[in-house]
Amino acid sequence: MTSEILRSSYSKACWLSAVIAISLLGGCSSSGAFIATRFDPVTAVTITYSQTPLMFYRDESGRAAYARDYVYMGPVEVNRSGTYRYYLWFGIWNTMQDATTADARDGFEAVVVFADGEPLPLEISGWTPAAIGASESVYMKPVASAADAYYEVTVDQLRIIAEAQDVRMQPSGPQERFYEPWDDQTSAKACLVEFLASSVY
Amino acid sequence: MAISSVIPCHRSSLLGLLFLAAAPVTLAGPGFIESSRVFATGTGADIEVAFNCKTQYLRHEPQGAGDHLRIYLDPTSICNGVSPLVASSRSVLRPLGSDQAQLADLEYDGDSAGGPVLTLTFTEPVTCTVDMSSVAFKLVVHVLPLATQTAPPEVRPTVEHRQVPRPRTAEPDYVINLASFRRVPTAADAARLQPTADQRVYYSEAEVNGSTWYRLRLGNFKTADAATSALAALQADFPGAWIDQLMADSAAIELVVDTQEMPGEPGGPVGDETRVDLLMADARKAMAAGDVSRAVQIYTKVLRLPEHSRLPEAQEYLALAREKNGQTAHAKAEYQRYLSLYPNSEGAARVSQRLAALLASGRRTGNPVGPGSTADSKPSSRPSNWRMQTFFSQYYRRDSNQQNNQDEIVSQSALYSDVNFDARRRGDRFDFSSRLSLGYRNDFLDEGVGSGNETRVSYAYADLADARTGLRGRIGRQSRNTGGVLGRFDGLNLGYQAGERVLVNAVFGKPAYSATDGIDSARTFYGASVNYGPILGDLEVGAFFIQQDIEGMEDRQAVGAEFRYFGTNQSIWGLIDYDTLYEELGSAFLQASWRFANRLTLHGSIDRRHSPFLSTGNALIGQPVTDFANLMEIYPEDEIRQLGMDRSPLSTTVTLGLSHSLTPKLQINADINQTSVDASPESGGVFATPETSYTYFATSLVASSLIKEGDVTIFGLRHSNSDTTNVFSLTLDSRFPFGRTWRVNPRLRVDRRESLADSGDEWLYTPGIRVQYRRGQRFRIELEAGKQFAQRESANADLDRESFFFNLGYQVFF
Repeated sequence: MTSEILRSSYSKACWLSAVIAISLLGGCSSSGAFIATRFDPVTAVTITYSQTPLMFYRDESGRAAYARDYVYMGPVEVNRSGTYRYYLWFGIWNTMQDATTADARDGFEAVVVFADGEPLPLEISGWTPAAIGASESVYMKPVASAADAYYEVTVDQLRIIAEAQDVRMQPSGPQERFYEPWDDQTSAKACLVEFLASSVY
Repeated sequence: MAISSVIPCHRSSLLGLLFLAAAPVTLAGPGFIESSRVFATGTGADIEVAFNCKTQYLRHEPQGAGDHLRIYLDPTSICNGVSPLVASSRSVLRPLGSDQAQLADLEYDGDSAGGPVLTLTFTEPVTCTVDMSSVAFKLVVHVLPLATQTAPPEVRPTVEHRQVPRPRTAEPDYVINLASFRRVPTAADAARLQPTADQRVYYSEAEVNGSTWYRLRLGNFKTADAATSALAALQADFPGAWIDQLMADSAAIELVVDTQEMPGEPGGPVGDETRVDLLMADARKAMAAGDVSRAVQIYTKVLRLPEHSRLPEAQEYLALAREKNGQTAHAKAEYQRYLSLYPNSEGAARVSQRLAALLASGRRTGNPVGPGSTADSKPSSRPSNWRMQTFFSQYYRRDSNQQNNQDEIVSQSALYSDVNFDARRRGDRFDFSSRLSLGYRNDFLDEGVGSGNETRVSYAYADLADARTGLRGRIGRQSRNTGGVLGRFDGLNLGYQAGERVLVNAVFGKPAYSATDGIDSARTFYGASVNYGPILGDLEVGAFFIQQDIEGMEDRQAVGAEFRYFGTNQSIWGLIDYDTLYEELGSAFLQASWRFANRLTLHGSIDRRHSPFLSTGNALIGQPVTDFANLMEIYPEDEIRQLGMDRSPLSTTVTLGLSHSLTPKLQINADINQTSVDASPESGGVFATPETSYTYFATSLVASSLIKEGDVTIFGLRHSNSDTTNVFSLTLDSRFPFGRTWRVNPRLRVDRRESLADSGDEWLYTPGIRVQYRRGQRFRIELEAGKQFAQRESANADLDRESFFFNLGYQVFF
């Protein structure tokens, strides 16, 4: 029944209209800012972060054309009374129905980000916002089962990533698991550049 | 009584412990260490570590020079807004400016066998002086590079300071610290401010590490939200601004000044230029003396000053200083920053040459340059513009199982080797890169038992980008995920950046859905796409057309679109692919998240698609032939298309979820998912398949720092049911860091499977462990082992089964 409905021309038009309407709604609600800042009243830190995280994916097209592992990556500045620390947030998730939240973390204790071939080894700082002194997640997780991960970095490392033409990442583990950048991420790159421009460094 | 110590022969200096008296009162942060900072000094650097609990200094080691310094402490129960239990926690920090002190990181371990210890790890041997009052909230480590040791300074008495408790008001106001200065702020510093009538602009004094800082502030705000809103508006003019809480008593040390009453800037712009000149001269002296860390600090400071004529020079010298300091990656970034900011300056050619030499010298510049080196020293060998990077890993995997005490059967015993090789050359106009990613499975099992040896080619491409025209081309085995391309392919991808927001792509190739596949001789595709954005803030949109043929017949023809939007509290991502050949919706995917004020985030997604992806080539599924050309000899074209359609049933997946931060260390997530696959008809000798459905509900509780700082435990429950099976699962997964190099991950999974076909009942217990060891930054060893015990009871027969899995491997990059 559902299938028949979706096959009708009317239904197809509705799909497209809904997509366009939702996209415009989303756009209109945007502030247009590349970075966002908020004060955490519980831990008294000021947090600055990029509005749009970078997207990475791992091609699993050998299993199914739509099967992918994803990692979202966004910079975070934590300002505690003038002491600044910088982190990268990873949102780790996949389209596999059988993967558990725990499994998604495998290999992400230690990650190497390659920025134009330059290896930047990152060690996990923690899996919850407490690791950076925040009381709640800085970025929105894309799905509930996604795993948050925070890695402490330097501004220089962020700058190297921002200026690289080609960024990819490799978690540890018994498989070759390169995560490649999603195509055409103009907004995310602009946000990262703006984030760096606003940093105190 | 004060305690001070010197390594190896230096005397302690006065510790200005005015922490509570002068510093702003803030809420305590999580963990034992409240903050840490590094300050450059004339001869080295000071590392200041503030604790959340008053602490007794005991001793430190070694007494000589070294690259590690261990300071043994005895925390008291007098703490600032945190539980004294934080003293037994563990944390690893890397303070801002660590490079100035050659500091790799500092680690506090309150649970160490030898008692609470603060360990500082340096990138090179240094000598240190530890200053700390007998019981204090803060200590200072003076770091002196070995190369710059001088005669011991005079002994100065260390003064014990007392903490004077001060009453706190119940509801403090908030203020915004706009900027901090070493001089008295002036009206010019606040010129861009437009305070409202009920706001005041003032400055306060703070003693930090013996130095007086003047903090320009805007206040007061009654709520944190009001301060946060105001801060957002001020970020552009005061990028380093932060919010502080203002206690009633802190006003006693503040000097309130109205903007109109602030003194004028002495010397005005001329004063700025003079200051720049003085700093530049100071930095040059530091460079000449080989104190490149100090030079880095000064050049960085010069670059932070308002617009002045020596910015390009400072930028270039900062890059050079970092290069001399062995900070290759940082130096590269600074050189590139120079070229992006001042592409037409007189120094651009010179900087380009230095950057090229730096890239060519690769890791050879990784060693710190000793004193006496000059700015003009050259790499030891002839530079090349190429940069190479290799990543290599090997893992041995073994799987075995045993049923009802029969002989063990080894199902896998293989060595997996993977290598990734990158070569790059960055030029003034052209950037070239290439990549080869290969894998090989060496199967140790007998032929016919195992899967056999196998070679994988994941990536093998060359890429050329022209900065002048905005054109980019990539040829070889590569991967795309947009523009209608379904992953890995062999072919050519051309891109053209037509302005800031428009990117046009054209693609031609043959799909290679598996890395073990060779070049597909049957299928060929071509397509074009355009991306536009950001528009309306943070929205990006794209559209594409793609055509794929198989043996001369149309395999797939589609148009589609993608959009992505990430907002502060909403995000949405959509993909749609419409097959114009079959006049069918190929796939539609919509995912959205919405965050609410109470730390609750709702998630939803809908994914409707043909599975497998709609294409004429699916007609091969279930047929006795494996070659599409042979299929064309059996069926006419129209029938093949219908077979392709019949073998591509529609699947619909709907997921709803929520995630909620109960506390900063405790999160709960929940998902409910339903997937249904439509029935497919009988055709072409292939049986019909019925409609199927699969539903699951999953929830997980994520808790961090339960047993020790930095650990995480995930407790998961899941229930799924399909047309044939009900499964209940419980998972317990913990991850513990041990020191800086070890990580241990014990895990347990218990499943109960109910078979609806034969009323069978199966229990599966799967304990396992993962251990990771890191040596340096470029080498890791990993071990994973586990066993599964399965007990199945049914009306027909009982079955006991045991499986064992084992992985051991390493990763290295160079």
